[in-house]
Amino acid sequence: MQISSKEFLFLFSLITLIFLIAPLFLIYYISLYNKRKKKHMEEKEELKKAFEHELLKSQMEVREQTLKTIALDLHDNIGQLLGLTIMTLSAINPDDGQRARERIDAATEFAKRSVKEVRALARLLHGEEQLSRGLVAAIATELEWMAKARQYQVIYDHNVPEIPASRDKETMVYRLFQESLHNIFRHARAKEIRINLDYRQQRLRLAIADDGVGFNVPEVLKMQKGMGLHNLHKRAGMIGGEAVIHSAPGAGTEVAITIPYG
Amino acid sequence: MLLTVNTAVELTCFLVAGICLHRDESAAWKRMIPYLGLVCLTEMAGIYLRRQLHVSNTWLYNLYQYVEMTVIWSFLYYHLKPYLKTGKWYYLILAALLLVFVTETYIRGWYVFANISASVMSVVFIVACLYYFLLVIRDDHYVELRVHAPFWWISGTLLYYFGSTASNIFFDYLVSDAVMNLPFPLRYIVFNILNVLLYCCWSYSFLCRYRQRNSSSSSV
Repeated sequence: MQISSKEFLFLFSLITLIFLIAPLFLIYYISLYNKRKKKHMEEKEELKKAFEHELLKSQMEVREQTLKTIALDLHDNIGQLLGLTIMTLSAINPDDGQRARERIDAATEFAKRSVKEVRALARLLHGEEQLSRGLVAAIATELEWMAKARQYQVIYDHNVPEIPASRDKETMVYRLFQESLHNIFRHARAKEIRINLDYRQQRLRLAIADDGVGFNVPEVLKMQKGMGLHNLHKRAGMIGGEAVIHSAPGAGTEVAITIPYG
Repeated sequence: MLLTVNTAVELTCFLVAGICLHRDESAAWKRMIPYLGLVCLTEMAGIYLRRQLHVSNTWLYNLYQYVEMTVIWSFLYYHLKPYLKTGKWYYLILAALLLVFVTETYIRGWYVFANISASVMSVVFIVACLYYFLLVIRDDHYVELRVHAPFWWISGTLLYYFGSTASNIFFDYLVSDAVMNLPFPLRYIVFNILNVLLYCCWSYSFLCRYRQRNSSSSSV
């Protein structure tokens, strides 16, 4: 079959048109893709900034919590010991040698205990240093102070081998732990607190459970007072993990935070 | 009458290149000025040979094709180089293009347009342009394509060589008497459109290059 010159020219024009439109579409597509890349990068930058902001907030909160613990301990513990020391020393009668010696010994004992407490406080003051010894040790220190100050049965289990250091994630997890404990102190009326820190398959899992009064999770989350719970979800999400809260009225509460680690 | 749509757009692009690139620190970009000067001279000489002297200008365009394949391939390679690990591709492809060109002109002679070489050259340039686009997409770094000089230079090149594929494939038929005697010279019109697109994109890329140089020097 032979085609005429006019038909050929029509065909030729059509092919040329297609060959012209194809790269135009390609250029348009690349420009569009590039715009999306820009948007994606901006979103990534925003997320990074939000994470840094949240991390800074967490660091501030950890410090604030440490200072609160110290203030409480200075008032309730060291203050009491020094008060007792003063009272004991002021009650010494130099004429009564035997009683005076006993009181001096007692005052010395109070002073020694005060020095011990001050040293422990000094350790705690370096709030950030707690985390430099690792998450396991930092949680243990926090629990030690809590046990001294409050009447709780604390069970702390941990199965964390050598894990790669990630200061930002540790700070966030530590703050989540403090936040969860704080919630227990404020609302739970619990007698026993169980803490479990576990690391397997490159995932770190921190579970904080209590035998307190519990609450209706969806209801509290809906209300404004559930901001602490929202924070748990938000912060866990920022480090690529998740926070799951199990609770029911009268059945205690368990907060499980799982994050990818390593 | 040396001034046609083609020569007008080529001269404009040459002027823009002269203004925008004469102080450019990149030798590759600067080389576009003499190349565009040569394009204008070739086009005008071609018109003069055909219209005034009434002799064939095919040998001139064949000669020009040799410069074209070297300069365009070198400049395309200049943009691909940062992404490539080895420089051997430059020499391999250039050698292959030259081999095709020399073989074709040897067999068909200088007075027949080397359209097979032109087709092979177009395919190589199209692949290089598409590869550049792929690299742009895959690159993690964001570049503002709207004002990115290499992007517009390559876009123009892709439009021209992709658009001229049909002309190259059907070259023999398009220059046959049956088609040439038709009232409208379609091949000429197609190349006019392609040249306008090519030199507009190139002129814009030179302007982008000029703006980029000025903004970077003023921010120092």
